[in-house]
Amino acid sequence: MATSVQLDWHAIPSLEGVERRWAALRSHGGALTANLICRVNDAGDAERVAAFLAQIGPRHPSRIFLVSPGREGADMEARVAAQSPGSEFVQIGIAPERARSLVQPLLAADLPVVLLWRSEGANEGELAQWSAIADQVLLDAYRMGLSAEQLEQLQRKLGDHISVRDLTWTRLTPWRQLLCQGLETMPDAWGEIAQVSITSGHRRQGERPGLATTLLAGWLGHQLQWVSEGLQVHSPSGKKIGLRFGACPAEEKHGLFRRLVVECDGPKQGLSVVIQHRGERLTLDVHSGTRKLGEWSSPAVGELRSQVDTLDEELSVGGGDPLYQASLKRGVALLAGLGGAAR
Amino acid sequence: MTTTDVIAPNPLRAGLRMQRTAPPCVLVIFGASGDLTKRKLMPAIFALAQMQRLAPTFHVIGVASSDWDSETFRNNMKAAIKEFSIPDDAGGTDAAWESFAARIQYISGKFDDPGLFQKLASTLKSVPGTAGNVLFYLAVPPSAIGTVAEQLGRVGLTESSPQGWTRIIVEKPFGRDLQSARALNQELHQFFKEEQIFRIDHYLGKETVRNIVVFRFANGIFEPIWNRRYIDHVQITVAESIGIESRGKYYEEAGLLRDMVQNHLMQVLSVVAMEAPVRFQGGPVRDEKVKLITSIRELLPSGASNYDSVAVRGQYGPGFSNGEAVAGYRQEANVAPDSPRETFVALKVMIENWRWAGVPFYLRSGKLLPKRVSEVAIRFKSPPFLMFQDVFPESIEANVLVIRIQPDEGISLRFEAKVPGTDMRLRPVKMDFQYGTSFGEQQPEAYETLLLDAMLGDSMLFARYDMVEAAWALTTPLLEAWEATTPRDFPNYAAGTWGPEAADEFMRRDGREWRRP
Repeated sequence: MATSVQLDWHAIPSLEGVERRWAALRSHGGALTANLICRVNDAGDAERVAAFLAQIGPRHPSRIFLVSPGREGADMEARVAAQSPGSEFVQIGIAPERARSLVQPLLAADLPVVLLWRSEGANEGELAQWSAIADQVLLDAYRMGLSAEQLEQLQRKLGDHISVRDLTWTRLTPWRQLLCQGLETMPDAWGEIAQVSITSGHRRQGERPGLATTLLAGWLGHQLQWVSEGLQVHSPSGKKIGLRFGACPAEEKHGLFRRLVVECDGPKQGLSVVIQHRGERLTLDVHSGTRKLGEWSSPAVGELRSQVDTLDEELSVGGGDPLYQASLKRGVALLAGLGGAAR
Repeated sequence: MTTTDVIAPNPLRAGLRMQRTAPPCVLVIFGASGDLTKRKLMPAIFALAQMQRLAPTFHVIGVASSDWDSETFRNNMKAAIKEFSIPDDAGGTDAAWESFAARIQYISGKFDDPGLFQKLASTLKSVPGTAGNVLFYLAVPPSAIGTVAEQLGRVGLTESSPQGWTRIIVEKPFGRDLQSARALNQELHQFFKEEQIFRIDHYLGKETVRNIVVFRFANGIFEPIWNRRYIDHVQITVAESIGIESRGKYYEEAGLLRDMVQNHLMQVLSVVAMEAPVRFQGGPVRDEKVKLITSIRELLPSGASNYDSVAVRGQYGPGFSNGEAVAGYRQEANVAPDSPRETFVALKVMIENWRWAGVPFYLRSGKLLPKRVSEVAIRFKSPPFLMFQDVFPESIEANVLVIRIQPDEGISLRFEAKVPGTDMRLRPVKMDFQYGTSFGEQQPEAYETLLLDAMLGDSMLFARYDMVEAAWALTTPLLEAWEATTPRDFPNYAAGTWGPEAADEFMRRDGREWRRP
């Protein structure tokens, strides 16, 4: 995927006729798949966000609205651009209270409206305003520094009518994928998990496990139907499961996680799956005792899986993800049960 | 019985977005030193590995008669991947290759040597972490298929069990007529159950063939008009702008009816015309396809002594292609100077069921036609009453829905629109949807899709024995009739044209004409 895409912006005096303008700029036509609304800070910020969104334009051709508060005392300022093939862009600088009324009539009909929410400079009033016309809110809770509890709180505020999705969850996909593949080297190994160690990629000693750890532990707990009672976690058959949350050494920084180790006992005794963040790659090692069964190396995850990559995945899926919600809920409950032991 | 039947699915996989990853297994390639392995199979496998679609313990064992060792095989495959991978897939780092190559082995030997298969059996036992799952790929000539299957059976490598599945992929051609196809199926069935056999036709791995299923059955508006009431006729074209290239020997044996019509065109026809399967799964989809092919009326019209009213064959002579002078078929290497082999076929097919009775399906395929194009054109009936005749006396074009398979995969619809102005003028316009510009996604290579499907046990895109036999049952009488009579007018079309005049005449007799794709 391209790392940088330059758009050719055209200033326009009004939004009248903007759809014809887009049609002329997109000489090949092509179908649109969504409306994306993104609150940006100013023209410079809009340019950066547009260049970023343009990278996934050909894969997810969308009508994209980049809305900034506008300059003090100025009337509306607008400019348009389009990719061919790809997305249609309009950047609008205008007082926040007027913005929604301009965007609404320009939304491409019958297509989902996705609100890409970045909290910088915006207040909750604006979030409420935009989420009222959106079908989905897509945020990056990890980058926004939200804890699992804050995220749950935000979701409650937005209500049930709108699906909230989070790029933090998307970044977990490679970790979940590799864990699945590692455990599948032995039939039913997932039922024999005895120990899970999640080492954070950034959390320091004494801090609470972060959002990503909560989601990962919650996902395992939800899918494998683990039961937590106080400081103990059990499988449905009553087998005790050890959960360990490691901190990252002060001199290192790894993004979401530094390492995930899952070990089995019972008939699968000795099976261990180790996923580690190493430079630009994730590696998977599967051992049976001391015997190496296999290894895998997954490229392009970097310190943090890129926003382009994660947004691409989210837009490919569409709709809500009940597993994300369930994992968040179970993770919060699981870590609350473990209390201080989770630190 | 397959492993997936007896082992509970991994609950961690539920809801995972990248669900289509292969379970642990060993891929054993017979014919590992051949062209197909280096051009298609290994690049596809490496691409799947790069996308983490294979298990970390996935192994490849190459088997062939070339006197290589594992190291030579690995080096040759590394070079092949560099040469034949599409650029994005070849971009794997050396570390990725080393990790992948560590699980590649090679066994040298003759396919009729029992010792080779005993060695293979013991090698398979020693491969760790593959849950006992084995996929055999027979990249071998048709004459070797029976030998390999029998040898595998002798050493007990053909059985699936709760401890692991065993599957076999067989490359086309699946016989050269009905009799030989039946014999091949019987030979395979002696050692493998039908659900273990995956007959690969790479054409079915192409995205659009699957897109046709989605287009027809994921949209509510097309099925109600997808029948004899609204459709006048259907044209399916698979045209190639190249000749037979270096395949003279093969083509002299096969000809276009065997090479393209019996398999590719019949598969496309079945997907376009079949009834809705109850589920998007191998069994139900293949059931419907077979049902459709067996509903086709036999090609020889009742009372007719020849096939001239339903079939036209052609052979290209010298001409021009893309501005270059090209030789005729009979001037190609390894082709007889008086060869009767066809390089063009046009067929009229009638389906005898409630949906299609009376709707002709015209199939057309040829070598050295003006452009490379594969498409399905659905021509709808004209409106029952043309009320515009007084104000607009010119004829009104019927609606045509075109599903383009290659190149520029997409869907277009032609309909009439009013030309803006005070006068009443109508003009046909085309509404166009292109996958490339709408999604910009790189489509997977057909072999990537099909190999992954076979590892997952998804048989939907593979030909079942009864489909193969039904298609041969339809085409074998025509083949025999053509082989019994020498065509007097060959070559009957110039390279770079849309086939023989007889093909146009054949349409004119029905009051129709071929589309110009």
